[in-house]
Amino acid sequence: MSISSSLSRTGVAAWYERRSRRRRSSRGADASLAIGVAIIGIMMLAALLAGVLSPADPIRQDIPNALAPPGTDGHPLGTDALGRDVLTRMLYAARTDLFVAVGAVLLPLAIGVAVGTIAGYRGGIVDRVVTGVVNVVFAFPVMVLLIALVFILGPGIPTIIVAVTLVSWVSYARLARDLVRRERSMDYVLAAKVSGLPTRRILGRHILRNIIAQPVTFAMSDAVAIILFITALGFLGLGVPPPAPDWGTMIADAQPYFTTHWWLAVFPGLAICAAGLGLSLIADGLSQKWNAQ
Amino acid sequence: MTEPLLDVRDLVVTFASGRGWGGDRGRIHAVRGVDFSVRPGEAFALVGESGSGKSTTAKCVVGLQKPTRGSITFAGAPLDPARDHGQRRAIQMIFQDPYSSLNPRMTIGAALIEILRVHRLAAGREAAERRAAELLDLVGMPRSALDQRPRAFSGGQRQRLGIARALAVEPSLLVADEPVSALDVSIQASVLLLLKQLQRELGLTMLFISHDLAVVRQLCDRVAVMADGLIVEEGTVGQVLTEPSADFTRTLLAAATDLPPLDLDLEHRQPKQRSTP
Amino acid sequence: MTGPAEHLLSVRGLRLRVGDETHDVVRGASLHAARGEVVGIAGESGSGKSLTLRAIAGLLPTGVAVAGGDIEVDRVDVVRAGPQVLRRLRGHTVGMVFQEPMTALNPTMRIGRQIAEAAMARGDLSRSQARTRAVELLERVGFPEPARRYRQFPHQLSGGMRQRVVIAIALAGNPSLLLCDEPTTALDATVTLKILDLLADLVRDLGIGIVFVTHDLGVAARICDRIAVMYAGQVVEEGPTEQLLRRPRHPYTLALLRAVPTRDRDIDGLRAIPGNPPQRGEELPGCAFAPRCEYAEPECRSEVEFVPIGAGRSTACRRHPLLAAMAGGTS
Repeated sequence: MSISSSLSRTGVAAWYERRSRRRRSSRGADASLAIGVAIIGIMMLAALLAGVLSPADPIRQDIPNALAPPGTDGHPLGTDALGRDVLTRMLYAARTDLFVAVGAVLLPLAIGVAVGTIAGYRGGIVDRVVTGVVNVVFAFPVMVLLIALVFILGPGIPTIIVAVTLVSWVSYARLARDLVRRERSMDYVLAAKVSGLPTRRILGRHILRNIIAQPVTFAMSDAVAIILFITALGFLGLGVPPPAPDWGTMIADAQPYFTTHWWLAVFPGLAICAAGLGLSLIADGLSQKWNAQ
Repeated sequence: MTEPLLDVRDLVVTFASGRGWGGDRGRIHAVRGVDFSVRPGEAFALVGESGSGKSTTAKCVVGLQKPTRGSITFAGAPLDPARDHGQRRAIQMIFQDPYSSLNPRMTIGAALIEILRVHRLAAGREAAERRAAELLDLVGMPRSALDQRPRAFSGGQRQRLGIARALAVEPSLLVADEPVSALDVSIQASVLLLLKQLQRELGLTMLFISHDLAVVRQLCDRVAVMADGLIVEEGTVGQVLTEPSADFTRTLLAAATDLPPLDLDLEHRQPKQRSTP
Repeated sequence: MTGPAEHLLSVRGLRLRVGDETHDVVRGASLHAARGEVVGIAGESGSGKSLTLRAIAGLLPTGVAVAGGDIEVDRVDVVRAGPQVLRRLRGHTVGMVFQEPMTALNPTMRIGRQIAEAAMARGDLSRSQARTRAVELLERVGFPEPARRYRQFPHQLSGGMRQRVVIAIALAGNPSLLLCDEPTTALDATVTLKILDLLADLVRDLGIGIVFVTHDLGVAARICDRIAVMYAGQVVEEGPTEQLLRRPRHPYTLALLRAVPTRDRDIDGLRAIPGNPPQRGEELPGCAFAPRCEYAEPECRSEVEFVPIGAGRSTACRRHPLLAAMAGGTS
């Protein structure tokens, strides 16, 4: 063992490292956050204003003008095999995909954090039961569950949200449980207990506030995964039922034309990338900002 | 003889041990039958080294640890682990580590007002704010601290804030768990002096947990020396420090690092002194 | 004064700077140590005592650099030495003992192997020789049945025994200077006593020198031959232990001594130091303690000089004659 390898990070050294990391990261975090929020904000705005921004109808077919290249009069991004305007469909798809992503993130976030927090704080039998359930769900094959659900509930947006929630709340539950277990032995939590504060208050005002940063950050990066998941479902034909547009289905529909009519797949693909990038940047910025505090 | 405020009888705490020496998985006997009582208005110290059971005993008293056996009586009534509001309020604690004992995301004012309101010690928000400000006066902190978060304060200042929080509910017993051992030497003195002043002004009853006999000497009337989960000696601070009866106390006293006495005449001053700061 | 041959360590006017700050965190520290001597650096957190110690071993944390002054260990110029020379210095000349024995040891490695590894780092021992040396070292630092204990893991030991292992590792390269950074702070008083005894034995038997950083004046009083007191990055006073603690020649030392709770005086004898230590990066012209000092005069705010005042003592206080005049009749 060399001397340097055993240097514990104390005093000035640790302080300096923290400080310089904080300085470096707060600049980087602000930039990440700003760019991320801008990308997602523009996309959401575009989705909301889809009806205004694009005069065309997302599902009206116009066979004579099918497969028009980008730049064609009235179709800045071209048309698909059925003559539907690609830009219009992408805007409406943004509505579907962003809405589903938000729903499929908020629901498991809320459920998972609530369950995990209670399990972590209570410990004992409650904790053992929750941990058991979490482990079972972790081991469960997602696709099988989803296909089963599609059979039961029928394909559609609610099915996707329910399915994603059933699977992904466990990640939040596990994360929240571990964070709460660490936090509950902190002196300030003990102090709150000694002060006679009710448990609900200790959990909500004290513990949750101190641990929520990580699950929220995780949710942002999870949203990226969920958008990719929804598009993958669309591609497999298990997603949003036609003719409602979504980026995944659009790419799936474009499959026969990949080599001849590139715009059909590339533009929705770019939209997915942009949404993913925006959410990742937000997640990154948030986590750096929170870590620095 | 006055009725004791706190009476601990045959207190036993055992933990299930997850890991042990070379696979020896058993139970750790942290406290193995401890008796003591604290009279109203007195400062009673539990002294011992790490693992002696002193902190576990303190945690039982404030209700953060469930005793395996034994009874704790407070003001004549038994203290169950599930205490009522009034019992919780009556026993407060100050913690060792000033850096983890305050909620980092709450302003000092919000934390104090929360406690005051939960215990209905202030009618309305304004009264609570006024009381919080008084508490800061009491511990020698500026009122501007109300709007600041713990991060803004040094270790000694945080310890003062921790004391303010404990005093917010006007407890009858204050349990202090090594309140100065995490502080720098020059800061220790000011916190000890504050505790002494509060003791004198408010007539606080204190259960003081420490490893340091010199610190105990400053604040306490009686002391019990703990080793391996048992009280090995109990008496007035003067007795125990000067005529220890237990071997362990003697070892502890021998190990205490002392300073040679100052050989300076502190009254000797030249006429020209103190440029005003 | 002491000749160059006796100077195992000499630090002169050391200044350390953190990154791009404009103020130094250590602002002129001078110190020397001979073989067979324990020199204490006493100070509160933020005084720069640990950084000074690390600078001596050439182990400054990233971002902290020497901004001025000299460090010489066994005639090696540490400030200007390259990485090669520094590594040799740490293997042969300087050993280091840390505050937290648990984090200083590798939890997955048997303690004997950790010592043997350190012994082999010197490069002149075979594997089996290193093993023999490790067993010897375990015995040297007070392990009964060293051959059996060789195979234990750190978690099987108490805090005090772990610290003995750390000391054995520090001794593995046969250093002439042992640097100790708060080695007893994490330990109980009874254990502290035993570790201090061990260190004193090592100084006597091996003739090594020790630099002992501590915040605890009582511990320093017990082990150190001389003490340097640091405040806000300056060595404010240095001298033989007994004289320094009984008749301090710097108001900070005096204030510190009056702020320490002791068993022989009650709380009315306790004096808190008014004010707060300076913030990092605060502009500190002159004496850093002046704003809190009851003896300060206006000149203290503008200039400060660390000067010898005879009898092996030095002080940074321009008003030291006043403190000298206060000294009692027992000198």
